[in-house]
Parts: sequence; structure tokens; C-alpha cells
Amino acid sequence: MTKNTKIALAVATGLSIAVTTGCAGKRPNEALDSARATYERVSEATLQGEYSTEDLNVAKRRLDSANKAWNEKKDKKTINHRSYLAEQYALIAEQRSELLRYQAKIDDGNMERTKAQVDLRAAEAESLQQEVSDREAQLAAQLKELEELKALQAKNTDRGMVLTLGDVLFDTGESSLKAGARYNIDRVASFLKKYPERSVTIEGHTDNTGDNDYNYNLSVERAFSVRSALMAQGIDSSRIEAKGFGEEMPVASNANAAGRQQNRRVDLIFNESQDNFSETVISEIDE
Amino acid sequence: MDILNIAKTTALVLAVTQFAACSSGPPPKQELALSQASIRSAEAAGATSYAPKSLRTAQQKVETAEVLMSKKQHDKAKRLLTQAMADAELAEATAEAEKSKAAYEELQQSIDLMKEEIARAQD
Repeated sequence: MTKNTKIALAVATGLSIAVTTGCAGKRPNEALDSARATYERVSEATLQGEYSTEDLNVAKRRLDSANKAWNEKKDKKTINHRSYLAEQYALIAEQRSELLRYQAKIDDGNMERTKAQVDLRAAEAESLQQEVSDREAQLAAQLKELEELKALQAKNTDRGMVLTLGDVLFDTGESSLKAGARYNIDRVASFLKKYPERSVTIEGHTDNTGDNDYNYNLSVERAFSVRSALMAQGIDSSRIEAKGFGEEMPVASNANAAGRQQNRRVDLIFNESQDNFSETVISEIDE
Repeated sequence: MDILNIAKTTALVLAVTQFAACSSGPPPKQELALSQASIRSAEAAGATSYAPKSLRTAQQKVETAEVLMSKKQHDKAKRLLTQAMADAELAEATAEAEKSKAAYEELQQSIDLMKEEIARAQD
């Protein structure tokens, strides 16, 4: 080799190196730094979870390839290209981890939902059972009340439960209660004390013997007489309404003595003040 | 031939060889097909609504690569296609993760609703 040739080769080599380093990256590469950081973040997060590392391995190989290009001082475009791919595959690994994470949560959620469904059915059944027993208790209470009214000799009419006190309570033409009326009044009072929701309407009636106005006044007075007796037993006046109808509302013929006796009466109508007195209950009792 | 001429010629030959190494190989037909398939797959996964940015990037790179291929710039096209494939895969993975997240949230809502009903029933 001549001296000239040596020099020529040296120059050529120098130029060649210059060409190579011309597009090489000794200085830090932004894309590569970013890819490294992303890989670092994703690999930490992925390793913390118990997920497949397959996607992370793909990203790792991409990053290795980018690092290799950088170490071998390849041109910037190559380093950038490989860094870009490394970054994208790290992001893909991240999304796959997210997917697995949510799938695991969905599995847990499905179990939780199944349990909640069972709990819900149990709670609904219990609530229904409670409703049924509440209703049963309510019906039983209503039945008892009705039976007590029936024991008072009250009758179920379309106006409600009506207790008719006959003319035996009063002397003819008198409005003050006879001593014998005490027993009936006591029984009604104790019923009203037991069922404070109930109120009562007292209606006085007469036969058609005598003057119309006189009969009307007598019926009012007798109704108020019963009201006073109940108030004396401690029943609040607001629960007792009293009115007279005279001879207007006969329940039997006034043509004979037996009919007239039926017409001379005081009716006590027990009102379903608050809770409606279920018709089903009444019909159940009637049957 | 003097020294300078020899050096010039050698340098030129080396330089041309070097450039030729990063110039065009065969058309990247396989990469084109693969990236197009990846885009279709991402679209099927719902990337159009869940990861529109990555999907659009992939589509644009494929379009650019096709132009480059028509100009015989095959190596440049190949790189773009490789990137497009990664972009499309990211779009698909993102779409799958987002759908899964939405499904989880919906599930959680239905559980919360049921728990409220249980609390009501137990009142």
C-alpha cells in the first residue's frame, strides 16, 4: 500500500464516519426518553397487578430495539421510529392491563350482583311477610271489634253498625233515662273507651201518637239524654253526636201497638271514623 | 490520479452505498395489508367512538404510505405502516378497555340500585 493510498483510505474512513454520525444520536433523544418513561410507568403498574405480562414483553422488546439503535448511534429517524413504536406498544400494554383490570372487577361485580339479588329477594319476602302479618293482625282486631259490637246487639245495616235501644229506657213521655238503662249505657261506654277511634251518632225516634212538634222535641231530648249519660261515663263530647227525628223515620207500622213500640227507639250508629271498616270484614262476619 | 481524486471517489462510493442502504427495498405490501386489517379490527371494536385520535392517526399514516409507495419510497412507507399498525392496535386496545370500563360502571350502578332497594325493603 502506497502512502497515498493510505491517506486516501483514511480520508474516506473519516468521511464515512462523518456520514454515519451525521444522522446518529449521541445526545439525548426525546422520543426515546419518553418511550423509556412510559414503559417504566406501565411496567410498574402492570407488575403491581396480577396480569399477563405478555403485552409488556412485546413493549420491552420494542424498547430494547430502540435502545439498541441509540447505542449503535443509528440515525435519528430510526431511533425516533423505534422509540415511537416502543411508546405505542407500552401504551397498548397499559390499555390491555386496564381491560384485564376491569374484567376482573366485572367478575367481582357479577358475584356481588348475584348476592344482592338474593338479598333483595329475601328482603322483599320478609317485607311481604311483615305486610301479611300486619294485615292479619289488623283484620283480627277489626273482627274482634265487630264481634264486640254484635255482642252489644248492634246490627249491620247499610248505614253501618246500628244498636237500637228500645223504649224501655224511658217512661212514656219522659226523656230521662230509667235506672234500668244503666246497663246498656255502661256497655256502650266501655266499647267506646276501648275503641277510641270510633264515634257514635245518637238518633231519637218516636211513634206517631201525639203532636208532631212534641214528638220531635221528645226525640231530641231523649237522644241528648243518652249523650249526657255517655259523657258522664267519660266519653268525649266530640265523639258523640245527638239528633232527633220525631216520627219521621218509622221502622214499623204505627197502625198497631207492636209496630209503634218498635218505632219508639233510640238508634246508636257506630261510625267508622278513621280507619275504614273494611266491608270484606263485615261480610266475612255476616257469612 | 492524485490523492485527492482517489479520496473523493472512495468517499463518494461509500456514501452512495450508505444511502442506498437506507433507500428503497421492495414495496411493503404485507405491512399495508396488516395495517389495514388492524384498522378494520379497531373499528369493529368501536375505536371510532372510544379512541378516535389513535384511529385517525393510523388511517392518515396508511394514506400517506400509499402515496409514498406510488412514489417508490418503500422504506419510508414501510415505517409509516408499521407505526400505523401500532396506532390501530392501540386504538383497539383503548376501545376494549373503555368498553369494559363502561360495562363495569353500568354493573356497579345496577348493584347500587339493588342495594338501595334492599335498604328500602328492610325499612
